[in-house]
Amino acid sequence: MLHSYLKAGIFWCGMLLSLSCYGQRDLSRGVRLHEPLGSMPTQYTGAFAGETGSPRLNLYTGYVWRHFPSRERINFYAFALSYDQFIPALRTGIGFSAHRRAGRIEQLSDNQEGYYPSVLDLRDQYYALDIAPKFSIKGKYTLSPFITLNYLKGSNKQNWLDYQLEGFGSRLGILWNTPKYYIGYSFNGIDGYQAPDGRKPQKHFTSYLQAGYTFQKSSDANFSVTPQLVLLITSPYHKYGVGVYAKNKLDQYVEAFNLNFRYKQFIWGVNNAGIHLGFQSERLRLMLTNDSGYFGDGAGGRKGILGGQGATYYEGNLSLRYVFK
Amino acid sequence: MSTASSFIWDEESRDLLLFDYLEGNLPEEKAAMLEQALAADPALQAALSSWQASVVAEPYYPTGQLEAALLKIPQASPGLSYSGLAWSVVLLLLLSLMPAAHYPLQLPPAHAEQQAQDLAKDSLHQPPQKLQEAAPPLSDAASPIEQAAASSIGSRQPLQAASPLLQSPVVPLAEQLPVLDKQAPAEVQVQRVLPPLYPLPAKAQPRQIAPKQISRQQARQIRHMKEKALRQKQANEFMKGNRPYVVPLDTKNF
Repeated sequence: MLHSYLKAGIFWCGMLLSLSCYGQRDLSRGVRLHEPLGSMPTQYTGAFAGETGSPRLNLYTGYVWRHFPSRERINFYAFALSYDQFIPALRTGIGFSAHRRAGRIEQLSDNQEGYYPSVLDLRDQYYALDIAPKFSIKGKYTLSPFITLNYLKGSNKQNWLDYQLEGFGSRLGILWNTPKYYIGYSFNGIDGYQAPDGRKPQKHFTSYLQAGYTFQKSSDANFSVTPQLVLLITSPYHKYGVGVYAKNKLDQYVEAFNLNFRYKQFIWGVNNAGIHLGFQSERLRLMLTNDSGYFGDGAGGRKGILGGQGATYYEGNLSLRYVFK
Repeated sequence: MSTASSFIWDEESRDLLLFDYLEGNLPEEKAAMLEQALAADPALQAALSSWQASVVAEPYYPTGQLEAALLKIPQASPGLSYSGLAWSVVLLLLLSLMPAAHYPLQLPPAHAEQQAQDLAKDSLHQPPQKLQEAAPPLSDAASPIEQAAASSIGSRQPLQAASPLLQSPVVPLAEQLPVLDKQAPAEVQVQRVLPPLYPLPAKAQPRQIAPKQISRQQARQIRHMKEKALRQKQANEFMKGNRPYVVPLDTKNF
């Protein structure tokens, strides 16, 4: 027992020391996949790596199509996979995830229908390695700190301009869970906006507070309700606007949510990417999320905001999870 | 230091303690203290017996194979062993001999009832004297049971009437045949209350759940306690090392 604790301690200290080599940046926010909460378990909190005690594989694919005839047309798809498992010898969960996104945003510069002079091609790749030691308390609770090391490579091609983005980053946090609920916090690092007029960059930190709870009569009851929530918490900061700094007062808002209902192995509910339904057992989960809309004739004030007559959009997400028990 | 008097808690804590005690989830030290408190407190004893009545006994089933399967312990294939084969042959021989030795007495109850009914009818229609003559004489060495059986066959009397030792569990038949019952001698009616010769094996009595009217709040409380006891059991398994190191989220819900 002591030997295992020592090994876990050494491993954890090594990871902390290696972390000092990198500056902390929240790179994941640059990707913004809009995945339904829960489809990629380590998306917001890396401590979920190895949390099941068994190897786990997650696959996700999503597609977004938005058409605002007088404003813009957006097409992009996203794909992600993750694998994590628990290593008993180290008492640590290890996870790896890869995300890719590619898309095109065509924007109108005037109200001429069908003419899109500005074309933005986006391509992102984001990889993350999660390391999460586990400490069980009385066999009832798990306390799990974590480190996520991530790497982002992206390119934005706007007409003839090509912006390249590449870098490493990390996240830190902690998770407390029982079989019935969890609460976790992750500190994502410090971001800064460089003002174009040479003034000091306005730095602020971002972090996630994530929690979920299962309402269920007993552990073997057929019906359950599970709300989950991710809050984005940032420090107040001044964001560069059009020629001025405007204070960003939104220092806390809902980043993602999932309200899931389950009867036996059938699940349904609503999440941040739409309405979902699917199948969920201890090993397998298949979840389809859909969101679509039609803005009609764009009457009133919505015309200028949402793009006018015939504005429609569709967003579809499919996620699969398999636990190798 | 905590003593037995420290068990005087509020009702919910007391119930939870008793429930854990019945589930076997209390540590030895606490269990000993509770037993000490039980010995001195009749109210606590009453509460314990109330809980005992409400606990549903789970049927026992062997968990060895399940445990071996979960732990992936390779099990030796049963195979054929010569000693086992020999014992099987001996057992089969013995089993085949048993009906021959006890055939008249080992009829199934339904057959015995039918036979008794037939015999009773015959005894009404045929004079016993002739049949008595037709019955073969028994040797002196015959056992009392055999003598009783033979006299019953000879006299075409019901087996129950022939000997108190040959009472069969067909007592309700007397109620179904009131004519026969009236004609039967007085001592037969007395003898029917005697136990049968080969009493049926006592059926395992299912543990009766006390018909207790409980409110929804109490039901919720019991469910909550059972859930807590289950979690404690799982925690105990974890402490023994039978569970993985992590306490996972329930993947059925998350």
